[in-house]
Order: sequence, then structure tokens, then C-alpha cells
Amino acid sequence: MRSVIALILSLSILASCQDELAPELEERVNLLVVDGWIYNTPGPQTIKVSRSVPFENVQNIAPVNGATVILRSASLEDTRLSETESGVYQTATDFQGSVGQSYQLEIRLGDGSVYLSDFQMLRPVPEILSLSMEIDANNVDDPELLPVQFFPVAVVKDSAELEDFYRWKIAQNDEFFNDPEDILLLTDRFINGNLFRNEFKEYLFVEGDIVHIRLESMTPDAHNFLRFFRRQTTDLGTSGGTNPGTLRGNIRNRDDDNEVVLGFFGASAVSTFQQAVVE
Amino acid sequence: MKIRLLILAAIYAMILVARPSFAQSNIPVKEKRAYSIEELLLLIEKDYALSYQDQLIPFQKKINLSARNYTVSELLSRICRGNKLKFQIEDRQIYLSPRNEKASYVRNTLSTLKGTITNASNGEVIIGASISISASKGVTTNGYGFYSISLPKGSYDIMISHTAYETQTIKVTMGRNQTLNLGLTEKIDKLPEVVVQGRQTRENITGVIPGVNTLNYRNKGDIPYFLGEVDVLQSSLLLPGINNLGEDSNGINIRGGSASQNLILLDEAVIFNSSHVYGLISVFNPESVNDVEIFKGSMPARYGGRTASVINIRQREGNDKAFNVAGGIGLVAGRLTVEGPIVKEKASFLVSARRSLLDLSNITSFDPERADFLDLNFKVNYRFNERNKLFLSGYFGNDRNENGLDQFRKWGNRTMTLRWNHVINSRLFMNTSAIFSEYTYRVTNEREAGSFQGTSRIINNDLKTDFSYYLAKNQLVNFGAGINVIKSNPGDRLPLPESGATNPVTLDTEVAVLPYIYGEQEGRFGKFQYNVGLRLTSFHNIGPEDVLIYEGEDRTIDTIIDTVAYRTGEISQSYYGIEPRAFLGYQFNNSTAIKLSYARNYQYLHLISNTLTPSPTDIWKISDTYIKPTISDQISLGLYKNLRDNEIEASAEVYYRGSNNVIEYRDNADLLLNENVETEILFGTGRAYGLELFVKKSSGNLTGWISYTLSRSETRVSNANEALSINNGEYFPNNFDQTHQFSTTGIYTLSRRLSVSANFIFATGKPTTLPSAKYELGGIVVPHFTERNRDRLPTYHRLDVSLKLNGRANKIKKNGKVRKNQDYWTLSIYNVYSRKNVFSFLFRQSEDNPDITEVVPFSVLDNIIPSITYNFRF
Repeated sequence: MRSVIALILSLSILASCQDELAPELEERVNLLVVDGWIYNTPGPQTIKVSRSVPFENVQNIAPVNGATVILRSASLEDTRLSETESGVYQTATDFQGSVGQSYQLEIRLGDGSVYLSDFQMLRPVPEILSLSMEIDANNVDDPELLPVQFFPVAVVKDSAELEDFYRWKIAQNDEFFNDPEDILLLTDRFINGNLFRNEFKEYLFVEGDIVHIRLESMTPDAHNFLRFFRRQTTDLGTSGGTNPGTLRGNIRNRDDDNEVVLGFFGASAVSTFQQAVVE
Repeated sequence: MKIRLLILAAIYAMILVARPSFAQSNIPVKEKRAYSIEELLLLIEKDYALSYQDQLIPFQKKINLSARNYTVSELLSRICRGNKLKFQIEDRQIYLSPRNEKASYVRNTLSTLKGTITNASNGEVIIGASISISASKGVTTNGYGFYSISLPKGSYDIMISHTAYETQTIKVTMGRNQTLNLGLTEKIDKLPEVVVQGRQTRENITGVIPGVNTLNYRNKGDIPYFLGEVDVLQSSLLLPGINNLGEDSNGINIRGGSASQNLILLDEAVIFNSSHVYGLISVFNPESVNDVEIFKGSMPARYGGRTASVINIRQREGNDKAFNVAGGIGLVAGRLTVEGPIVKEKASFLVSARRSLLDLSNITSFDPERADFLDLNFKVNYRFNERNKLFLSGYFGNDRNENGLDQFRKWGNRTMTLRWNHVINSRLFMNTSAIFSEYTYRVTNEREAGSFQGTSRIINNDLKTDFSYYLAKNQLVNFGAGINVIKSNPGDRLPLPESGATNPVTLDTEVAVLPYIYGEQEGRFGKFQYNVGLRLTSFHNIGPEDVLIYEGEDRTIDTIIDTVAYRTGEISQSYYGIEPRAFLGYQFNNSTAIKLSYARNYQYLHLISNTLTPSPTDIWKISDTYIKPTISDQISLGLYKNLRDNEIEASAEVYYRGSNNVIEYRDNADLLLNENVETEILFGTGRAYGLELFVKKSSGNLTGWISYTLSRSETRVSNANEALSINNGEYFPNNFDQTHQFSTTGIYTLSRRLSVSANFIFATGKPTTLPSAKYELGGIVVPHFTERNRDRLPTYHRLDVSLKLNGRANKIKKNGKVRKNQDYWTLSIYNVYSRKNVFSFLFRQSEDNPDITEVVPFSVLDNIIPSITYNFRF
């Protein structure tokens, strides 16, 4: 009996050890971050240039000012962007990308370093043929307590040309859903050439809301990047998650191939559909 | 912190060991006169079991003794002195044998004694029972309860023993070949629930294979309860060198290897996924399990196929004398087992089923989702005659997990084994088996754009023959051959319903044929015992198959330059493996031994998974042109000591295992339905090494063990091309690395009816990757990572407690009959002090202030989980 008591006492001493659950993070790196995407809709087209910050920082972004940002088309036509806000560089309002054209981004910093992106082709995008609202079955039981909720269904026909990559963006009353879980990617691997229904069951609207659906095209590189980006911001730490890695983009230091540059420069064609929800 | 730990461990060890020491009996000698040796042996036999060869003892020789108490050793010394004898005492058994074995060896006729040892009450074979003539001459029964021993002409006292059964001594006269089949009765001590352990205690010293842990399920008291069940894999986590990736992980990790590097066999059939959903309960229903042997990296030549371990599970056969129904019902699962004779003492059957009751997802921290499982085991055996026995056994398992509104996952193993035991002659035993094993999973997704059903399947068929040839002088030769055929459908994804909008995608079927042959010889000479073997394996990937040719080492879609097509039946790739196995042990005395081992293993089948923990929907891939077999070499050295007459066994073992062609993945590898998986795979080398300390006490009111492991497990992926390297080509700790692991189990029997047990685990946190910076992209805050696994999770510790209350036995019912139902209740509590052990970290923007990014610890089982079970048997 005394052995049992001794055991319980010793184990309770052990159990009372409080562990520091918050890990210590050190700041080790300070990298250039380029966030830019151009569309075939009227501008202005926006590129943001910033630097990474220590993880505990209250500010998430350290904007880079005074950089020279140039948008180059494959026919070597250069357009220079102007810094309209701290770290935000924009084209003229009437500038838009053209389908079939390839674009490259060039950034020159104050210290003389030059960064170049890969050329990104602005690929065509199919039309959104229709948008309908369907009743969310879960809420039908108690129609008096909650207003009836709907989710959007968009119909699209994929082009038979293999290897199309898309991204959906959804807005409710002019505000886009923009959490990591809202990065909705689609490849045509399983639907190539088909007429295809997309049900967005996670997005619920009520009567009177304005639903805005946007379909963007992209290159395979862009899709790969966004897929990794989505994984690292949603799956990490779950048992279905993978080991995290460095999220390299498509921008490189012209004189130093080893420098890690974060972010991505992409080009998309856009098709949209908007409607108000009526019962 | 560490010092505190050491003190606690020392205290606990002292408690376990601090009991009055076992003293030898005193033999009172009444008169001072000359006694004949015969009289003295009779006197000694009152307290001890004696074993000796008649012709060697000079019974009438006289010895002068005084009137006082003599210890038994003193008397034996006097008897042996001058008579060319020596004695050995083990527990309460004494062996008298010639001092110089060679002198008495009569070089003429040897005859053989063979037979099967079974449990007298239900006919189950006893594995590892010892049949001995003297302390150094004897054999043990094999996996089918069979033994064979060759002796010169003469009369012998044969002792048949097993620490869970009453020893029997039979006098046998050898001169011609004979058969001795025996049934042993289970040991009943004065406290019937007193824990007894299986054969491991003596094998700690006499067995030649180090790093083997045996768990005996016949006496349920000696394995701690978990969620109301004694679980094969959960209890193995308390042994040294074995851990897992935390809750919600499938499988176990042995000496730093991944779960897919363990060969798990159920009656010789491969089990591909050993855990039910969330990894808390294994697929092995304890009601149907007889014996579990775990070889940690050093396995004899008759086993092979994976690089880290072999976990060999044998099912029970079914009571061949009477019908039994047993079962249990608890919060987590319910089970029922029916067994009995088909033809009394000739054929029997066993059928066992287990199903989850409570929706398992309720005990985790995940959002509610449905999770349930089912296990079905059956076994039928028929003994035609003395020489032939046929067995048919099988397993069917099913897990179902419903995640969110529209996603279903179902998976399960299915096995069937047909075996024929044939005794060819008194020295040659043969077993031939035909084995089928299949693992499938199905994912049904009705939610996203285009509902579909994805399926994947792997089938492993085996045809093999194994021989055991018992030579004279304690030598045993095992040899055999077999052929393994693997067929894998890595995945197809079909629209659901068939007319749906998605296009079907089907990955190519893969087929491989793996013939093998092995031979091993085991024996003893002097104080040395050895087992030397060789296993020759080969692998052939059979067409039809298209092999892509890439330019250079960096295999991507863009570097494909050609395709080579192989026709049906054409071999597209072959590999050959030479796997030597060598074991050497030296017994200093009856209670101390040192063992050295070396083993090389080839693994031709790989689980492709880049998720943190393996998931039931990962894909098994056979080796091919680009995926070479993984090869491991392990050496180990151990020191073993039994104390206090085998009541306590202790060991210290060091090991080193190096592996080549270890599979790793590129960052952001896309493995889902990937036709060309070789574009996402990188190859590296691994090394795992460690020290394992173990102390176990197996009898008395308090039993249990303490285990401590200090270890490291690392991987290196290095290539001149940086895209093919990880962490700059340096060794980094892999996901299974755990520096310290301390665990202890104690089972205390309070009374005939009540016993209490507790287990405590304390371990260093697993490696994790923490961000070194953050940035913003598209309005989302992103953590930035540099090196993989550079940091560690917080330490893991947990205490579980359980209580077992036996029903009233031998109660007389109103009608005067004895109550037949043996029942018991168990109450078990998992994570008694509700520690929120961290499974991983999540990086989130704070809900209050989006400018602040938090590191949030995530736990799977963060609460105390009680469970009650009622079990019955009649």
C-alpha cells in the first residue's frame, strides 16, 4: 500500500511541472515579398512590394518604398507603375492585360538590386454561363427561427484544351471572402471539356444579398503556387497537413539565383456574374 | 527537470524491487548419521522438483551429515562432490547433470522424442513451452506447439514448463522414436488473479534474439487497459524503443522507423493498416489473440520484407473441449466471441466480432463527424491425425469516417490464411501456407464541384513452405521458400453517379512477383548460443507498364524525353536482396547474458505519404525503375540480467540502424492520384540509434515494468542540385525522432477480486517546424519557414489509470450448481490529469486583432476520457 501512495505522490509532483507552451521564435530572415497580379479588366493593376517581418511583430507588413516597378509585355513594351500608397504600385486606370499576351515584372530597389519574374501568359477564361441560388437544406427544418439561406451554383463549360487552371472568388455585398480557406482552386483534370456545375455549399446568403462570382484563369505555375500557399495557410498542424516548406514564387534576383524571394506575379483573365438573391 | 526525473525513476525502481528476498528452503536434518543419496533426494523433493538421469546417480552412496538445518545448495554440493555431477536451481526446480557432458555422451543410438504441448483445458497450443532434460539441454515449442528432441538411449526425467502453466515432469525411456503430447494446466496461485507472464522471463537470458518483446494475452491482467480494452499496439507503446506520432496517428514507430516499415502479420497474413480511426484502437481484437511477438529490427531469416520490425500476431484456435461464449460491452466498443469443438479434441473453431458503439469522434477535439469500426475474426482447425493438422483463419475489418456533410471514407483489411502442418518424421516439421491479404479504401465525395468516388486497393498473395529440422545436440535448422505476388490499384476516381460531370481517371495497375528462399541454423555450444541465417529475396515488376524516361536526375513533367512500353508479363524492373542475419549470445550464468545481432533487410513495398501522420487513404506503391527498395542494416548489443530467480528481468540494449533509399518528398509534393509519383519523390539516407533500458517484474502482488529509451532518428537528403536536397543536404531529425522516452506500467492486485493499474508516459516532444518570419500576400498573413524540423513540440506526458473488478467466482446458485459465468468489470481513465498534449502548432491571425499572428497549440485528445466495460465468459 505504501508503494502505491509513494507512487501517486511522486507522479503528482511530476504532473505539476508547468511547461512553457508558447515556443520561442527567432527572427532570422528579412526577405523581399512581391504580391502582384494583373487582369484583363480595366485597371489600375496593382503590385505590392514589401519585406517579411519577425513573426511576433504587430505589423504584418513592412512596405518597400521608392522602388522602380515595371510591367513588361512579351513584345517588350514597358509600362512603369507609380507608387500611390506606401509600398503599393499601380498602373494607369485604363491599363488592362490582353488575353494571349505574356507579361513580366521587373523591380529595381534603391540599393541597385534588380528582380525579375518569369513571363506569365494571360490565358483565356470561359464564361460563367449561369448562376443560380439553391436552398441550403440544413436550415429548412426551422424556417421561422432563421431566414432561409441559399448557396450559389455556377455553371461553366471548360475548354477542351487540356490543362486549364482556375480560381473562384466570391463576394457578398461587395466584400470578397478572403480567408485562406477561401482560396478556391480548380483544375480541369477531372472535368476537361465538360459542362460543369460548381456548388459553393459553404457560402450562404440570405434574401437581399448581392452575390458576385468571379472566375479567373491562371498558368500551371500560378496554380501550383496557390495550391502550396493554401496548404501552408490552412492545413498546417493538422494530421492531414504536410511538413511546411519554403514557399518560393516566380521572382528571382537577376544577379543572385540563390536569394529567396517570396510572393508571386500572375496574370489572369476574368469572367464574372452577379445577381441579387430573391426568394 | 531531468534530475527530478531520475530521482523519481529511482524511487519507483526501489519500490518495485524492495520486497523481502526469496530465501532458499532450509532442509532440517534430524539425526547425525550417514544418509544415502536416495534418502537425501527424497528429502529435497519435498520442496523442489528434481530432474536427473537415473544412471548417473549413485543412489546408495552415503554421505555423513550433522543434525542441523542445511540449505538445499549445501546438500546438493555434498551430493555432487566426488560424483562428477553438478546442480542448478531455477525457481523451485533443480537439475542434476553430469559435470562434463561429453564424458557421458554415449555415441551410439539416438532416438527422438516429439510431440505437441497444449493447454489442458481448451486444447490451445502453447508457444514457447520449454522441454528440458537439464539446464543446458532442451528445446522450446514452436509457433504450433510442436517440439522435437533427440537423446541417447536411457531413462530421463523430462520437464515441461512454461511460466504460465504448472510444470510437469515425465519419466521417459529413450531407445526408439516416440511421441509425447502433453496438456499443461494453467497456473492457479493462491491469489487466482496474480499476474503471470509468458515465456519472456527465461528467454530474456536463454533466447538468442535480442530486442524481442512478447506480450501474452492469455492472462488479461498483465497488460494495462486502455479505453476498456487491452490493446496490442497501445500496450506496445509502453515498451522501450516503440512510440507513435501522438493521437490521431495510424500505426506505431519502432526505433525511429515509420509505421509502414513494420511488417504486421496476423496468422502470417500482412495487415496494411493496423489502426482504426484516430489510431487509438488497433484492428486486433484481444479476444482472438494468442500471442504477439515484436522483433525490433533484428529478426531471424524466416521473416523479412520491411526495414524496421516484424510484429507477429497469432490468433487463438478455439477451445476443442467445450463451448465458450465470451464478450464485453463498454462505452467504446462491444465484442462477442464464440468458440468450441467441431469434433471434440480433434477440430475446433473460433469466431469473434467487435464493433464500436459510441461514435469515436466524440472523444477527440475534432468537429463532430461520424466514426465507427468493425472487426471480424475467425479460425477453424482440424487435426486429421498425429501428423497432420489443417487451419483456416481470416479477418475482415471495416472503418467508416464521415467528415462534414458529404465526404465519406471507408477502409479495411481482409485476410484469409490456409495452413497445413505436417510432421514428416520425428525430426522434421513442415508448414505450408496459402495466404491472401487485401487492403482497400474508398472515398466518396458528394460535395465539391463534381461528386466522385475514389478507390484504391492492394492485394498481397503468398504461397510458402517452412521447415523446422531438429538436429541432435540442441541444433535447429529452419529453412523454406515462398513466392509473394503483389497487385496494386493505386487509385481510380470515377464520377458518381456514372453520368456525372467528372471524367474518370484511373491509375495503372501494378503487379510484382517476389520469390524468396531462406535458411537459418540455431544452436548452442558451451555457453554460447547462436542463430545464423541468410535470406535471399528478389523482386520483379511485371508489365504491362509504361516507364517514362527523364533527362537528368530532376524528374519533372518538363524533363520527360521518352516512354518505354512493356507488354503483359514482361519484366520491367528486377531487384535482388541478400539479407544476412546473425545472432550470438553468451550466457555468463543462469541469470546473465550478453547478445549481439546483425540484420539486413530489403523493403520493396512503400507507403507513399507526405502528410504528418499516415492516413488510411495513403497509397502503397511497389518498387519500380525509379523507386528502389529501401535497405536497412541494424546492429545491436545488449546485456540481460534476471534477478531474484527470474522474478525480475532487466536489460540494456544499444542499437544502430542505417538505411539507404529512404523515401522523402519535395516541398508541396502533389501525390493525389499522381500517375508519375517519381517526380515528387526524393531519396535519402537515414540513421537511427539509441539506448534502451528495461526492468520488468512479473510475479507477486505488484507487477509491471519501467522502460527508458534515449534515441535519435535522422534523415539526410543531399544532392548537388539544390532542388533535390532538403535542409541543405544535412542530417535533420525526422518526424519520428524522440530524444527521451520514459514509460512505466504498474499492476497491483489488491485482492482476489480487485486489481488496479496505472501507466505513465513521459517523452520529449517530437520535431516540428516553426516559422522564422511572416509576410502578407493577397491580404492573408503567411508564416515563412526555412529549415524542416528544427524545433520541438513541448514534452508529452500522460497518466492513465484503470481498475479491474472480478465477479464472484465459484458462487453457488440457488439450484446448487456452481455459477459458470466468469465476469469482470473494468473502469479505465485515459489522461487522468487532462494534459493537453500538443500534437502540432497552428498559425492563426488573432481573432481580436488581425495584426497579431498567434502560434496556437493544437491537441487531439485534450481531456480525461473515462470508459467502463463489462466482460463475461461462460
